[in-house]
Amino acid sequence: MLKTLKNILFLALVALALAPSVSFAVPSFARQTGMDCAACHTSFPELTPFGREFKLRGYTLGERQWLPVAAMVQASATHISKVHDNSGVTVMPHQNNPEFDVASVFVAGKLNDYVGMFLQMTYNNINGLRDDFSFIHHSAQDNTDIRAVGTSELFGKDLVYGLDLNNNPSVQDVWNSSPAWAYTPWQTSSLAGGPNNQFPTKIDSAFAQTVAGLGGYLWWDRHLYAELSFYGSANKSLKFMSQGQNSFPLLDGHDNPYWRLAWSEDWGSNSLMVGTYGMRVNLFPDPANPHGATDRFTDTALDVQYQYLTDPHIFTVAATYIHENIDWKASYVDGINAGPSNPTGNLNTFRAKATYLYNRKYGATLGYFSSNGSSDNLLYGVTPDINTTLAVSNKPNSRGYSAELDYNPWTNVRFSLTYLGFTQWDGASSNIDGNGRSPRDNNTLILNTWLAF
Amino acid sequence: MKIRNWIIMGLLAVSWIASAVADEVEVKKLIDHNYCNVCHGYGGTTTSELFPQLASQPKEYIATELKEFKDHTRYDENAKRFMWGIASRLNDHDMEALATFYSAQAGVHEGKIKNQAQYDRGQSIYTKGIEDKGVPACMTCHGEKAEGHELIARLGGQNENYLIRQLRAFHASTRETGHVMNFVAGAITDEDLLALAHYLQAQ
Ligand code: HEC
Ligand code: HEC
Repeated sequence: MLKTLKNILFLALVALALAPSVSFAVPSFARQTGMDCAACHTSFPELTPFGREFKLRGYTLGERQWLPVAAMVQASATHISKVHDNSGVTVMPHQNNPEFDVASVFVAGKLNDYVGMFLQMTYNNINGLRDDFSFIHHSAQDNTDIRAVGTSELFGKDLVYGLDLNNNPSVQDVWNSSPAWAYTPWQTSSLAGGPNNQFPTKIDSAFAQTVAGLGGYLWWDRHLYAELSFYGSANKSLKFMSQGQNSFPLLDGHDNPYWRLAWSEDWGSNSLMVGTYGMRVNLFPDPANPHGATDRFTDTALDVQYQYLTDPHIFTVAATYIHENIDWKASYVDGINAGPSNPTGNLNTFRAKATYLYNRKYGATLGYFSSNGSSDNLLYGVTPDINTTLAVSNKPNSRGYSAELDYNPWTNVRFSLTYLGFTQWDGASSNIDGNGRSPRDNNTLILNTWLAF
Repeated sequence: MKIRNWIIMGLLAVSWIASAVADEVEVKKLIDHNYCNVCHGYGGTTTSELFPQLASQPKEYIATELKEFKDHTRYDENAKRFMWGIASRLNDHDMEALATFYSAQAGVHEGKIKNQAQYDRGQSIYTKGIEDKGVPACMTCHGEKAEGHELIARLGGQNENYLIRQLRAFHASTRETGHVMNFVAGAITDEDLLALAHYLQAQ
């Protein structure tokens, strides 16, 4: 415990030592625009209306930097409610130990007045665990978003139109209710995982950094956003967008559509967005053998975001509901004891969060998620009870909540304390491992340090 | 054709179209390129309390403030956060053009009286000052209708919370060159400050 405290103190000192020298040395976009993080973010990565405009206009505001580079580091200590399962096996090693989680390098900025980009490369210190609980490290291309934009007028109102190339459906989106930039929470533990089916729908980050999507969008009168993009796997000449990802789902073709429609309304200190987005993908059941029939996943979603932006009070709410229809055209074979046990299925996720920020320094966030879907003995009945040998569940259903406190001494430094609680875990509300473990035994408390420079 | 070639062609096409249509009036372009609208609203009129109204503000005042953001003599928190970067890219000619544009826009007079007692107190200080505390009548400088004049800011219709923050900034001397105001604001109590802001927004 003493060692833990000493390590936390050390991390805090490192952060403090770095921070004063970065009073203005915030990441590359801030250097490019000359503006503080606060102009674009309420609290990273959530965007203000100005931040949304900056992104939609292709990151082109400001002066091109000679070297538009920035970096980000995260470290955390995780406390899980019950470290051992009922047979004494360690569920999560490194309990309470401060660990360095990830470091990212960004190449982000304008190329000229019409083209800009956001490229993130991430080194993951805890990408997995070996049998002796030592860490498996890994580096890979992270979020990528490259845009070309123009501005014009339509019906006498401002029109921004753009082309976007990205590697994660919704990473191009500017609201923090759609999957890529949603609070789930912002910082989770690299050590303690969530349920397998915490966010089971495909559009909910299943393709992050493994696909390439090209699309066009319109942003009219700072009210209406409409986008249509097409995705395929990021291989061959697009491999740079999935560099470092070893295995990933293989999409059939490069024409799997993603769409987005949103209406935004700003009045007084309020900003509201109501929108819908979705995706339809055809996926090969075996990525090693991309031929023949595919399974089809159709996702449709609704989302809403509300922001109340004043000085010193900021209040934001974001929520989304995603519905997925699955047609196991390729994987389902009647009478065979593998793959899905039904020809079709569906999944749903609801997620919401509310944040209050005071003076952009102190923050509190409450979050909730709930996922459920149709039952399937073969897909979800994977955990047998040690006594009866019957599956503990045949549903994906998972549910939980989070409560978080933040302290941002500077806009580019954050300390957070997050409590993540689970009430349902991969279909079971108790006995989740077949050996009497309850969902709440996996509840975690995470102390996190985040800095960007 | 390979996807990559499509992408390159697409990027080139957009760049080309964009440069072709970029042929508008200079000040409109300046405003658009610096996103003034996004924060200050079209024509410098906004109902957000984070951002001041610019419409109808005297030309000399606007140009002066932009210079002060640029040379960092106005350095309250929000000036640093939002305006330093924007102003750093404007030259004297741009500032002049922007000031001319915004000063010519019709200002708002939409504020409502929510608290009559507060309003009356504000009006009394605005028109008569507080003699025993040495607070001068604001009206003598800011004008009968708080419309401002040359280097003196228009206050009428300005957002209440913005005004409060500025009076506090003068008090804290983070608007260095507002000499007169640093003195004026120092003598006003918090309660009177709220009353003044309330009165002014309702003008
Ligand atoms: C990111 C939002 C943002 C953008 C973009 C922006 N401003 Fe501002 N502006 C502000 C804020 C916030 C303040 C108040 C600063 C303070 O509290 O000191 C301000 C203050 C000002 C002031 C001083 C007003 C007064 O009453 O003293 C002027 C003048 C001004 N801005 C002009 C402009 C112009 C011209 C542009 C475009 C070239 C622009 N601003 C773009 C946010 C913005
Ligand atoms: C002697 C002249 C004078 C008097 C009297 C005076 N002001 Fe001012 N006021 C100014 C000047 C000049 C400025 C512009 C300061 C600057 O450039 O920073 C100003 C600016 C302001 C601003 C900032 C406006 C903005 O848009 O940022 C406020 C608010 C203000 N005055 C309120 C008051 C109030 C309230 C009183 C009365 C209690 C008052 N003033 C009395 C000269 C005066």
